[in-house]
Amino acid sequence: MIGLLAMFVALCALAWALAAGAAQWLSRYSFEALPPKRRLHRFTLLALLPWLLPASWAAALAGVALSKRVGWIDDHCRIHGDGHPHLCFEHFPAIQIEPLAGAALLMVLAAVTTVVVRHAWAALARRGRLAALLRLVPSNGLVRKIDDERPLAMVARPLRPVVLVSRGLFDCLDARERRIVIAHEAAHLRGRDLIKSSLFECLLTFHLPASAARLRAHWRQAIEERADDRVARRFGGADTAQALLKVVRRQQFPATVGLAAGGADIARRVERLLAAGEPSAVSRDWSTVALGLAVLVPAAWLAGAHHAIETVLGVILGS
Amino acid sequence: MTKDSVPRTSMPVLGDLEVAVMERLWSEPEWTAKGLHELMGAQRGISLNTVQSTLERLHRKQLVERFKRGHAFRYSPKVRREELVAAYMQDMLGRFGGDPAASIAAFVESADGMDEATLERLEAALERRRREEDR
Repeated sequence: MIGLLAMFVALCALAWALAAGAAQWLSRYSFEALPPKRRLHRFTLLALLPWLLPASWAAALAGVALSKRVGWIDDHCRIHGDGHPHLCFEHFPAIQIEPLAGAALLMVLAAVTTVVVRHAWAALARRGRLAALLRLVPSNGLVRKIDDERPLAMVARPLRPVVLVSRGLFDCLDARERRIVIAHEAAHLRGRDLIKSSLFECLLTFHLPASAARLRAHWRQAIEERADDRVARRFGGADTAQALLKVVRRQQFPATVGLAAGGADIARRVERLLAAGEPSAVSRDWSTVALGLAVLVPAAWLAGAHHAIETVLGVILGS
Repeated sequence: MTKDSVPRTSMPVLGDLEVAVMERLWSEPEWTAKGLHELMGAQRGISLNTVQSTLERLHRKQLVERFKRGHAFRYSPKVRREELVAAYMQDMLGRFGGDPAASIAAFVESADGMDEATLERLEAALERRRREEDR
Protein backbone atom coordinates (compact mmCIF):
# COMPACT_ATOMS: atom_id res chain seq x y z
CA MET A 1 0.00 0.00 0.00
CA ILE A 2 2.81 2.42 0.93
CA GLY A 3 4.57 1.49 -2.29
CA LEU A 4 1.44 2.37 -4.30
CA LEU A 5 1.09 5.72 -2.50
CA ALA A 6 4.79 6.42 -3.02
CA MET A 7 4.42 5.77 -6.75
CA PHE A 8 1.46 8.14 -7.04
CA VAL A 9 3.29 10.83 -5.04
CA ALA A 10 6.36 10.46 -7.27
CA LEU A 11 4.17 10.64 -10.39
CA CYS A 12 2.39 13.80 -9.17
CA ALA A 13 5.71 15.39 -8.20
CA LEU A 14 7.07 14.77 -11.71
CA ALA A 15 3.91 16.21 -13.30
CA TRP A 16 3.99 19.22 -10.98
CA ALA A 17 7.64 19.95 -11.84
CA LEU A 18 6.78 19.94 -15.55
CA ALA A 19 3.67 22.10 -15.07
CA ALA A 20 5.37 24.59 -12.74
CA GLY A 21 8.24 24.95 -15.23
CA ALA A 22 5.78 25.55 -18.08
CA ALA A 23 3.82 28.09 -15.99
CA GLN A 24 7.08 29.82 -15.06
CA TRP A 25 7.91 30.27 -18.73
CA LEU A 26 4.39 31.19 -19.93
CA SER A 27 3.83 33.69 -17.10
CA ARG A 28 6.42 35.97 -18.78
CA TYR A 29 3.76 36.86 -21.35
CA SER A 30 1.19 39.42 -20.26
CA PHE A 31 -0.91 39.12 -23.48
CA GLU A 32 -1.34 42.90 -23.45
CA ALA A 33 -2.95 42.98 -26.88
CA LEU A 34 -5.91 40.90 -25.69
CA PRO A 35 -9.00 42.37 -23.98
CA PRO A 36 -8.90 42.12 -20.15
CA LYS A 37 -11.63 39.47 -20.00
CA ARG A 38 -9.73 37.13 -22.29
CA ARG A 39 -6.49 37.75 -20.39
CA LEU A 40 -8.21 36.85 -17.13
CA HIS A 41 -9.38 33.61 -18.72
CA ARG A 42 -5.85 32.85 -19.93
CA PHE A 43 -4.23 33.60 -16.55
CA THR A 44 -6.80 31.37 -14.85
CA LEU A 45 -5.84 28.51 -17.17
CA LEU A 46 -2.16 29.11 -16.42
CA ALA A 47 -2.87 29.19 -12.69
CA LEU A 48 -4.70 25.86 -13.03
CA LEU A 49 -1.82 24.14 -14.84
CA PRO A 50 0.16 22.91 -11.77
CA TRP A 51 -3.08 21.46 -10.38
CA LEU A 52 -4.46 19.92 -13.56
CA LEU A 53 -1.37 18.14 -14.86
CA PRO A 54 -0.63 16.10 -11.69
CA ALA A 55 -4.36 15.42 -11.25
CA SER A 56 -4.74 14.21 -14.85
CA TRP A 57 -1.67 11.96 -14.67
CA ALA A 58 -2.81 10.44 -11.39
CA ALA A 59 -6.36 10.05 -12.77
CA ALA A 60 -5.08 8.38 -15.95
CA LEU A 61 -3.10 5.73 -14.07
CA ALA A 62 -5.77 5.30 -11.41
CA GLY A 63 -8.23 4.86 -14.29
CA VAL A 64 -6.14 2.02 -15.69
CA ALA A 65 -5.98 0.36 -12.27
CA LEU A 66 -9.75 0.73 -11.77
CA SER A 67 -10.46 -0.57 -15.27
CA LYS A 68 -8.51 -3.74 -14.44
CA ARG A 69 -10.45 -4.12 -11.25
CA VAL A 70 -13.90 -3.81 -12.86
CA GLY A 71 -12.86 -5.98 -15.78
CA TRP A 72 -12.87 -3.38 -18.57
CA ILE A 73 -9.32 -4.33 -19.46
CA ASP A 74 -7.38 -7.53 -18.90
CA ASP A 75 -5.61 -7.89 -15.59
CA HIS A 76 -2.07 -8.35 -16.90
CA CYS A 77 -0.28 -7.88 -13.56
CA ARG A 78 0.54 -11.60 -13.32
CA ILE A 79 2.24 -11.57 -16.75
CA HIS A 80 4.76 -9.00 -15.48
CA GLY A 81 5.62 -11.02 -12.40
CA ASP A 82 5.95 -10.03 -8.76
CA GLY A 83 9.07 -7.91 -9.24
CA HIS A 84 7.26 -5.39 -11.42
CA PRO A 85 6.00 -2.32 -9.52
CA HIS A 86 2.29 -2.39 -10.42
CA LEU A 87 0.13 0.70 -10.17
CA CYS A 88 -2.75 -1.56 -9.29
CA PHE A 89 -5.36 -1.50 -6.53
CA GLU A 90 -5.32 -5.30 -6.22
CA HIS A 91 -1.68 -6.28 -6.64
CA PHE A 92 0.08 -3.61 -4.64
CA PRO A 93 3.60 -2.91 -5.91
CA ALA A 94 6.11 -5.04 -4.04
CA ILE A 95 8.86 -2.48 -4.06
CA GLN A 96 11.54 -1.76 -1.54
CA ILE A 97 11.78 2.02 -1.35
CA GLU A 98 15.41 3.17 -1.23
CA PRO A 99 16.19 5.32 1.87
CA LEU A 100 17.14 8.25 -0.34
CA ALA A 101 13.93 8.01 -2.39
CA GLY A 102 11.92 7.60 0.82
CA ALA A 103 13.51 10.72 2.28
CA ALA A 104 12.81 12.61 -0.94
CA LEU A 105 9.15 11.55 -0.85
CA LEU A 106 8.83 12.63 2.77
CA MET A 107 10.38 15.97 1.86
CA VAL A 108 7.86 16.39 -0.97
CA LEU A 109 4.96 15.71 1.42
CA ALA A 110 6.45 18.05 4.03
CA ALA A 111 6.92 20.78 1.39
CA VAL A 112 3.31 20.44 0.23
CA THR A 113 2.03 20.60 3.81
CA THR A 114 4.24 23.62 4.57
CA VAL A 115 3.09 25.51 1.48
CA VAL A 116 -0.58 24.84 2.22
CA VAL A 117 -0.28 25.79 5.91
CA ARG A 118 1.75 28.92 5.08
CA HIS A 119 -0.80 30.11 2.51
CA ALA A 120 -3.74 29.36 4.81
CA TRP A 121 -2.03 31.17 7.69
CA ALA A 122 -1.22 34.21 5.55
CA ALA A 123 -4.80 34.31 4.22
CA LEU A 124 -6.21 34.11 7.75
CA ALA A 125 -3.88 36.88 8.96
CA ARG A 126 -4.88 39.13 6.04
CA ARG A 127 -8.53 38.41 6.73
CA GLY A 128 -8.01 39.31 10.40
CA ARG A 129 -6.27 42.57 9.52
CA LEU A 130 -9.02 43.51 7.07
CA ALA A 131 -11.62 42.77 9.76
CA ALA A 132 -9.64 44.99 12.18
CA LEU A 133 -9.59 47.80 9.60
CA LEU A 134 -13.34 47.52 9.06
CA ARG A 135 -13.94 47.58 12.83
CA LEU A 136 -12.07 50.88 12.97
CA VAL A 137 -14.09 52.45 10.14
CA PRO A 138 -17.58 53.65 11.08
CA SER A 139 -20.24 51.51 9.47
CA ASN A 140 -22.73 53.32 7.29
CA GLY A 141 -23.76 51.05 4.46
CA LEU A 142 -21.87 49.96 1.39
CA VAL A 143 -19.62 53.01 1.16
CA ARG A 144 -17.53 53.79 4.24
CA LYS A 145 -15.63 57.03 4.56
CA ILE A 146 -12.16 56.92 6.09
CA ASP A 147 -10.65 59.86 7.89
CA ASP A 148 -7.42 59.91 5.90
CA GLU A 149 -6.05 62.88 4.02
CA ARG A 150 -4.56 60.76 1.23
CA PRO A 151 -6.78 60.08 -1.79
CA LEU A 152 -7.58 56.38 -1.40
CA ALA A 153 -10.45 54.24 -2.63
CA MET A 154 -10.79 50.51 -2.49
CA VAL A 155 -13.34 47.76 -2.37
CA ALA A 156 -12.65 45.18 0.29
CA ARG A 157 -13.98 41.86 1.62
CA PRO A 158 -15.01 39.28 -1.00
CA LEU A 159 -18.28 38.01 0.47
CA ARG A 160 -19.84 41.12 2.01
CA PRO A 161 -17.99 43.80 0.08
CA VAL A 162 -17.62 47.38 1.25
CA VAL A 163 -16.23 50.40 -0.57
CA LEU A 164 -13.71 52.40 1.46
CA VAL A 165 -13.19 55.98 0.36
CA SER A 166 -10.91 58.44 2.13
CA ARG A 167 -11.68 62.04 3.03
CA GLY A 168 -8.63 63.05 0.99
CA LEU A 169 -10.17 61.57 -2.14
CA PHE A 170 -13.46 63.40 -1.62
CA ASP A 171 -11.57 66.64 -1.07
CA CYS A 172 -9.39 66.47 -4.16
CA LEU A 173 -11.98 65.37 -6.72
CA ASP A 174 -15.03 67.15 -8.09
CA ALA A 175 -18.47 65.54 -8.05
CA ARG A 176 -18.12 63.87 -11.48
CA GLU A 177 -14.68 62.48 -10.65
CA ARG A 178 -15.98 61.07 -7.36
CA ARG A 179 -18.73 59.32 -9.29
CA ILE A 180 -16.08 57.88 -11.60
CA VAL A 181 -14.11 56.48 -8.65
CA ILE A 182 -17.23 55.01 -7.05
CA ALA A 183 -18.30 53.58 -10.43
CA HIS A 184 -14.86 51.95 -10.74
CA GLU A 185 -15.26 50.29 -7.36
CA ALA A 186 -18.85 49.31 -8.24
CA ALA A 187 -17.50 47.69 -11.43
CA HIS A 188 -15.32 45.47 -9.22
CA LEU A 189 -18.40 44.53 -7.20
CA ARG A 190 -20.48 43.76 -10.29
CA GLY A 191 -17.66 41.67 -11.72
CA ARG A 192 -17.29 39.79 -8.39
CA ASP A 193 -13.61 40.59 -8.74
CA LEU A 194 -12.72 40.05 -5.08
CA ILE A 195 -14.16 36.53 -5.00
CA LYS A 196 -12.39 35.71 -8.27
CA SER A 197 -9.12 37.21 -7.01
CA SER A 198 -9.32 35.20 -3.79
CA LEU A 199 -9.89 31.98 -5.74
CA PHE A 200 -7.08 32.89 -8.12
CA GLU A 201 -4.79 33.42 -5.12
CA CYS A 202 -5.64 29.87 -3.96
CA LEU A 203 -4.73 28.52 -7.40
CA LEU A 204 -1.31 30.19 -7.11
CA THR A 205 -0.51 28.12 -4.01
CA PHE A 206 1.50 25.54 -5.93
CA HIS A 207 3.24 27.92 -8.32
CA LEU A 208 6.90 28.82 -8.09
CA PRO A 209 7.27 32.22 -6.34
CA ALA A 210 8.40 34.06 -9.48
CA SER A 211 5.56 32.80 -11.68
CA ALA A 212 3.03 33.37 -8.87
CA ALA A 213 4.17 37.00 -8.53
CA ARG A 214 4.01 37.56 -12.30
CA LEU A 215 0.59 35.95 -12.69
CA ARG A 216 -0.73 37.91 -9.69
CA ALA A 217 0.49 41.18 -11.23
CA HIS A 218 -0.99 40.32 -14.67
CA TRP A 219 -4.27 39.36 -13.03
CA ARG A 220 -4.55 42.58 -11.00
CA GLN A 221 -3.72 44.63 -14.09
CA ALA A 222 -6.44 42.87 -16.07
CA ILE A 223 -9.17 43.28 -13.41
CA GLU A 224 -8.31 46.98 -13.03
CA GLU A 225 -8.40 47.48 -16.80
CA ARG A 226 -11.72 45.66 -17.04
CA ALA A 227 -13.17 47.95 -14.34
CA ASP A 228 -11.68 50.98 -16.17
CA ASP A 229 -13.34 49.87 -19.42
CA ARG A 230 -16.73 49.60 -17.73
CA VAL A 231 -16.36 53.10 -16.27
CA ALA A 232 -15.06 54.52 -19.56
CA ARG A 233 -18.14 53.25 -21.41
CA ARG A 234 -20.27 55.44 -19.12
CA PHE A 235 -18.07 58.46 -18.43
CA GLY A 236 -15.65 58.42 -21.38
CA GLY A 237 -12.02 57.35 -21.51
CA ALA A 238 -10.59 60.87 -21.11
CA ASP A 239 -12.61 61.67 -17.99
CA THR A 240 -11.73 58.32 -16.43
CA ALA A 241 -8.04 58.82 -17.22
CA GLN A 242 -8.23 62.34 -15.78
CA ALA A 243 -9.67 61.08 -12.46
CA LEU A 244 -6.97 58.43 -12.33
CA LEU A 245 -4.19 60.95 -13.01
CA LYS A 246 -5.61 63.39 -10.48
CA VAL A 247 -5.52 60.75 -7.75
CA VAL A 248 -1.98 59.75 -8.73
CA ARG A 249 -0.89 63.41 -8.70
CA ARG A 250 -2.31 63.93 -5.23
CA GLN A 251 -1.10 60.71 -3.69
CA GLN A 252 1.77 61.33 -1.35
CA PHE A 253 3.06 58.32 0.52
CA PRO A 254 5.85 58.25 3.06
CA ALA A 255 9.16 57.67 1.29
CA THR A 256 10.06 54.89 3.70
CA VAL A 257 7.19 52.69 2.62
CA GLY A 258 7.96 49.97 0.09
CA LEU A 259 6.35 49.76 -3.32
CA ALA A 260 3.73 47.11 -3.95
CA ALA A 261 5.21 44.39 -6.12
CA GLY A 262 1.87 43.20 -7.42
CA GLY A 263 0.17 46.54 -8.00
CA ALA A 264 -1.46 47.41 -11.30
CA ASP A 265 0.52 49.53 -13.78
CA ILE A 266 -1.30 52.88 -13.77
CA ALA A 267 0.60 54.33 -16.73
CA ARG A 268 -0.61 51.47 -18.90
CA ARG A 269 -4.16 51.87 -17.62
CA VAL A 270 -4.15 55.58 -18.52
CA GLU A 271 -2.61 54.93 -21.96
CA ARG A 272 -5.29 52.31 -22.68
CA LEU A 273 -8.07 54.70 -21.65
CA LEU A 274 -6.70 57.48 -23.84
CA ALA A 275 -6.11 55.20 -26.81
CA ALA A 276 -9.38 53.31 -26.54
CA GLY A 277 -11.43 53.41 -29.71
CA GLU A 278 -13.89 50.90 -31.04
CA PRO A 279 -12.99 47.42 -29.84
CA SER A 280 -11.40 45.47 -32.65
CA ALA A 281 -12.83 42.12 -33.69
CA VAL A 282 -11.35 39.42 -31.54
CA SER A 283 -10.64 36.01 -32.97
CA ARG A 284 -11.81 32.84 -31.31
CA ASP A 285 -9.93 31.91 -28.15
CA TRP A 286 -8.25 28.53 -28.43
CA SER A 287 -6.46 28.72 -25.07
CA THR A 288 -8.91 26.38 -23.29
CA VAL A 289 -8.58 23.83 -26.10
CA ALA A 290 -4.78 24.19 -25.99
CA LEU A 291 -4.70 23.61 -22.23
CA GLY A 292 -7.11 20.69 -22.55
CA LEU A 293 -4.85 19.07 -25.14
CA ALA A 294 -1.72 19.81 -23.08
CA VAL A 295 -3.30 18.04 -20.13
CA LEU A 296 -5.30 15.24 -21.75
CA VAL A 297 -2.90 14.06 -24.48
CA PRO A 298 -0.03 13.24 -22.06
CA ALA A 299 -2.56 11.68 -19.67
CA ALA A 300 -3.96 9.46 -22.44
CA TRP A 301 -0.42 8.55 -23.51
CA LEU A 302 0.47 7.72 -19.88
CA ALA A 303 -2.57 5.46 -19.60
CA GLY A 304 -1.45 3.60 -22.72
CA ALA A 305 2.18 3.44 -21.67
CA HIS A 306 1.48 2.67 -18.02
CA HIS A 307 3.80 -0.35 -18.05
CA ALA A 308 6.77 1.86 -19.02
CA ILE A 309 5.76 4.48 -16.45
CA GLU A 310 5.54 1.82 -13.75
CA THR A 311 9.04 0.68 -14.67
CA VAL A 312 10.40 4.25 -14.56
CA LEU A 313 8.75 4.93 -11.19
CA GLY A 314 10.09 1.63 -9.90
CA VAL A 315 13.63 2.62 -10.93
CA ILE A 316 13.25 6.08 -9.33
CA LEU A 317 11.95 4.64 -6.07
CA GLY A 318 14.43 1.75 -6.08
CA SER A 319 12.44 -1.47 -6.53
CA MET B 1 2.96 59.13 15.58
CA THR B 2 5.63 57.51 17.68
CA LYS B 3 8.71 56.39 15.83
CA ASP B 4 8.24 52.67 16.49
CA SER B 5 4.49 52.44 16.04
CA VAL B 6 3.69 52.69 12.33
CA PRO B 7 4.73 51.74 9.72
CA ARG B 8 5.55 48.22 10.80
CA THR B 9 6.24 45.10 8.78
CA SER B 10 2.78 43.68 9.37
CA MET B 11 -0.14 45.07 11.25
CA PRO B 12 -1.52 43.20 14.26
CA VAL B 13 -4.98 41.69 14.15
CA LEU B 14 -7.41 43.46 16.46
CA GLY B 15 -10.54 41.85 17.89
CA ASP B 16 -13.85 43.50 18.74
CA LEU B 17 -12.96 44.09 22.38
CA GLU B 18 -9.51 45.44 21.53
CA VAL B 19 -11.05 47.95 19.13
CA ALA B 20 -13.65 48.92 21.76
CA VAL B 21 -10.88 49.52 24.33
CA MET B 22 -8.85 51.55 21.81
CA GLU B 23 -11.97 53.64 21.01
CA ARG B 24 -12.34 54.39 24.71
CA LEU B 25 -8.67 55.31 25.04
CA TRP B 26 -8.84 57.57 22.00
CA SER B 27 -11.88 59.39 23.35
CA GLU B 28 -10.27 59.89 26.74
CA PRO B 29 -6.66 58.85 27.39
CA GLU B 30 -5.24 57.48 30.65
CA TRP B 31 -7.46 54.73 31.88
CA THR B 32 -6.82 52.05 34.47
CA ALA B 33 -8.06 48.52 33.83
CA LYS B 34 -10.48 48.94 36.72
CA GLY B 35 -11.85 52.19 35.32
CA LEU B 36 -12.37 50.63 31.90
CA HIS B 37 -14.05 47.61 33.46
CA GLU B 38 -16.47 49.84 35.38
CA LEU B 39 -17.32 51.55 32.12
CA MET B 40 -17.50 48.56 29.74
CA GLY B 41 -17.69 45.46 31.93
CA ALA B 42 -21.41 45.32 32.67
CA GLN B 43 -22.33 46.47 29.17
CA ARG B 44 -20.28 43.77 27.46
CA GLY B 45 -20.51 41.14 30.19
CA ILE B 46 -16.75 40.85 30.70
CA SER B 47 -14.65 40.49 33.83
CA LEU B 48 -11.83 42.70 35.09
CA ASN B 49 -9.37 39.96 34.12
CA THR B 50 -10.58 40.12 30.51
CA VAL B 51 -10.07 43.89 30.42
CA GLN B 52 -6.61 43.50 31.95
CA SER B 53 -5.56 40.86 29.44
CA THR B 54 -6.95 42.94 26.57
CA LEU B 55 -4.86 45.92 27.69
CA GLU B 56 -1.85 43.64 28.06
CA ARG B 57 -2.32 42.38 24.49
CA LEU B 58 -2.63 45.94 23.17
CA HIS B 59 0.54 46.83 25.04
CA ARG B 60 2.36 43.87 23.48
CA LYS B 61 1.10 44.98 20.06
CA GLN B 62 2.63 48.40 20.80
CA LEU B 63 -0.70 50.18 20.39
CA VAL B 64 -0.93 51.45 23.98
CA GLU B 65 1.65 52.63 26.47
CA ARG B 66 1.37 52.27 30.21
CA PHE B 67 2.87 53.88 33.25
CA LYS B 68 2.42 53.22 36.92
CA ARG B 69 0.65 55.78 39.04
CA GLY B 70 0.06 54.69 42.61
CA HIS B 71 -0.56 50.95 42.63
CA ALA B 72 -2.17 50.66 39.22
CA PHE B 73 -1.03 50.85 35.62
CA ARG B 74 -2.58 53.62 33.58
CA TYR B 75 -2.94 53.09 29.84
CA SER B 76 -3.01 55.61 27.02
CA PRO B 77 -2.99 55.16 23.22
CA LYS B 78 0.38 55.09 21.52
CA VAL B 79 -1.00 55.69 18.01
CA ARG B 80 -3.73 57.95 16.77
CA ARG B 81 -6.81 56.38 15.24
CA GLU B 82 -6.13 57.86 11.78
CA GLU B 83 -2.56 56.55 11.86
CA LEU B 84 -3.75 53.06 12.67
CA VAL B 85 -6.39 53.11 9.90
CA ALA B 86 -3.79 54.46 7.45
CA ALA B 87 -1.30 51.75 8.45
CA TYR B 88 -3.94 49.04 7.95
CA MET B 89 -4.79 50.42 4.53
CA GLN B 90 -1.13 50.50 3.53
CA ASP B 91 -0.78 46.96 4.80
CA MET B 92 -3.75 45.81 2.71
CA LEU B 93 -2.37 47.58 -0.36
CA GLY B 94 0.93 45.76 0.06
CA ARG B 95 2.91 48.91 0.66
CA PHE B 96 5.08 47.29 3.29
CA GLY B 97 6.81 45.36 0.55
CA GLY B 98 4.42 42.42 0.21
CA ASP B 99 1.72 41.78 -2.36
CA PRO B 100 -1.62 43.53 -2.11
CA ALA B 101 -4.27 41.36 -0.47
CA ALA B 102 -6.48 39.43 -2.89
CA SER B 103 -9.47 40.55 -0.83
CA ILE B 104 -9.15 44.19 -1.94
CA ALA B 105 -9.10 46.08 -5.21
CA ALA B 106 -7.92 49.67 -5.05
CA PHE B 107 -8.57 52.47 -7.53
CA VAL B 108 -4.85 53.28 -7.44
CA GLU B 109 -2.36 50.85 -5.95
CA SER B 110 1.15 51.82 -6.88
CA ALA B 111 1.11 55.52 -7.66
CA ASP B 112 4.34 55.95 -5.77
CA GLY B 113 6.00 53.88 -8.51
CA MET B 114 5.28 56.52 -11.15
CA ASP B 115 7.93 59.12 -11.72
CA GLU B 116 7.27 62.79 -12.50
CA ALA B 117 8.30 62.48 -16.17
CA THR B 118 5.79 59.65 -16.79
CA LEU B 119 3.07 61.58 -15.02
CA GLU B 120 3.75 64.67 -17.15
CA ARG B 121 3.79 62.58 -20.33
CA LEU B 122 0.40 61.08 -19.45
CA GLU B 123 -1.06 64.48 -18.59
CA ALA B 124 0.16 65.81 -21.95
CA ALA B 125 -1.46 62.84 -23.70
CA LEU B 126 -4.70 63.61 -21.87
CA GLU B 127 -4.51 67.25 -23.02
CA ARG B 128 -4.00 66.13 -26.63
CA ARG B 129 -6.97 63.80 -26.37
CA ARG B 130 -9.11 66.65 -24.97
CA ARG B 131 -8.10 68.94 -27.85
CA GLU B 132 -8.94 66.22 -30.37
CA GLU B 133 -12.35 65.75 -28.77
CA ASP B 134 -13.02 69.51 -28.84
CA ARG B 135 -12.37 69.74 -32.57
